[in-house]
Amino acid sequence: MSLALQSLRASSRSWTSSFSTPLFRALVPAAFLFAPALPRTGTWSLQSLLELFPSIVLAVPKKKVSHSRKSMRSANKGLKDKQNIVACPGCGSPKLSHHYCQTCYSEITRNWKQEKRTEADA
Amino acid sequence: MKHGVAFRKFSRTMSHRDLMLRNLVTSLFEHQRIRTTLPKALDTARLAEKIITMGKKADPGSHTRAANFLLKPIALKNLFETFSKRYAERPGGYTRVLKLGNRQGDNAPQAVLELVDNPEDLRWEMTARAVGWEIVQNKIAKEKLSTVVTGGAQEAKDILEAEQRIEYGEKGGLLRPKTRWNVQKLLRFRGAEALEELSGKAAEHADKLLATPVALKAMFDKKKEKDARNFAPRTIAGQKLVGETRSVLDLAQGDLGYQRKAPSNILTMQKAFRLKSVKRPAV
Repeated sequence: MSLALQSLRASSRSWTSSFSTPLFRALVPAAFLFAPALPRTGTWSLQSLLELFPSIVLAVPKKKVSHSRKSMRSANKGLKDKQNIVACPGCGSPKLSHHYCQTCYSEITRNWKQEKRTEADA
Repeated sequence: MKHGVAFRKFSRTMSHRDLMLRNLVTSLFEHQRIRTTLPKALDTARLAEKIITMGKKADPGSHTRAANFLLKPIALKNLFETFSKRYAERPGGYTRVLKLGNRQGDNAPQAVLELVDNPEDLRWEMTARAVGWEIVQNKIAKEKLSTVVTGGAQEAKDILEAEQRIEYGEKGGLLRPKTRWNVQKLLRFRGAEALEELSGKAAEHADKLLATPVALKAMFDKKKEKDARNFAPRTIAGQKLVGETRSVLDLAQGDLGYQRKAPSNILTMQKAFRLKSVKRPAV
């Protein structure tokens, strides 16, 4: 019996002492622990809810982000240069590597269409 | 991660997806070349090759299955009459997907899906042009510009015959290894007249490359007669003219890139006209 009481006192002491540690204070806002009593009757109102959530919890920007800081954040958001540009083996104009040359494709297909049109006319 | 994912869903239900692919295969068999998005082209190519294999087998079972798959009678007719004969010797690989960059409206990656060895084969055309270009570049590196412009590229057929015999990895020859490889692949399953046709196209393209600056100069002179304020047509950024040795990326970057001196033997519009051997064409 005495042993049980002793252990209970020890555990309670450890529980209460944990309040004073800075780590605990930092992790759990004080207001949460010592909140006002909740209304038992009636509906929850916004006022009572806001009392539960102190301003430290509602995240909001403190100041307008300056032009300089905004620009620094968007520094690496620009379009990147393409490095995969090579010469078309047929006409020497620039094209994307592993792709068909757009100028040649246009020319070739237009020639075919023209031939078909002249054949149809004749 | 895409571990073990077998096929694309295309954000469609199974019935919609299957019918869309059937339509694409039918269109491919009807027109022999279609332009669509790259993922659709890759999936359609896979299906189309299986149907062509069905078409190569002459048994009634394959006929029924192909007829049930295709949605137009013309496609079925083409399959059993044209494609089975065209691909009789070829063990697979009846289609080709060529990438075309991105679409304007939605930036979708585009591709051309074509049947190999069809009358309007894009790789056939491009290889002919590449052979023509390389013959001209090679000539300009060795001979004087004026002789090249008047001479043209008559020896295309001999060059191609020699290139056909060079093994992969062997040294020698005029063409780039990639162009030689493409030439050898294209001539493998075509008939005897394929070499003549290819060399004819290459020679024609080489002549066009040499004649275009001269023609443009004549056109520009005519424009200038009308109005002295007319500017000469500028080449697009990075355009490699005939005789150019610098890379396209360096040319395109201009002052911001690695700058080298222009080669002396380059065929610009101005130079083409100053050559004494070139007579002023009557435009």
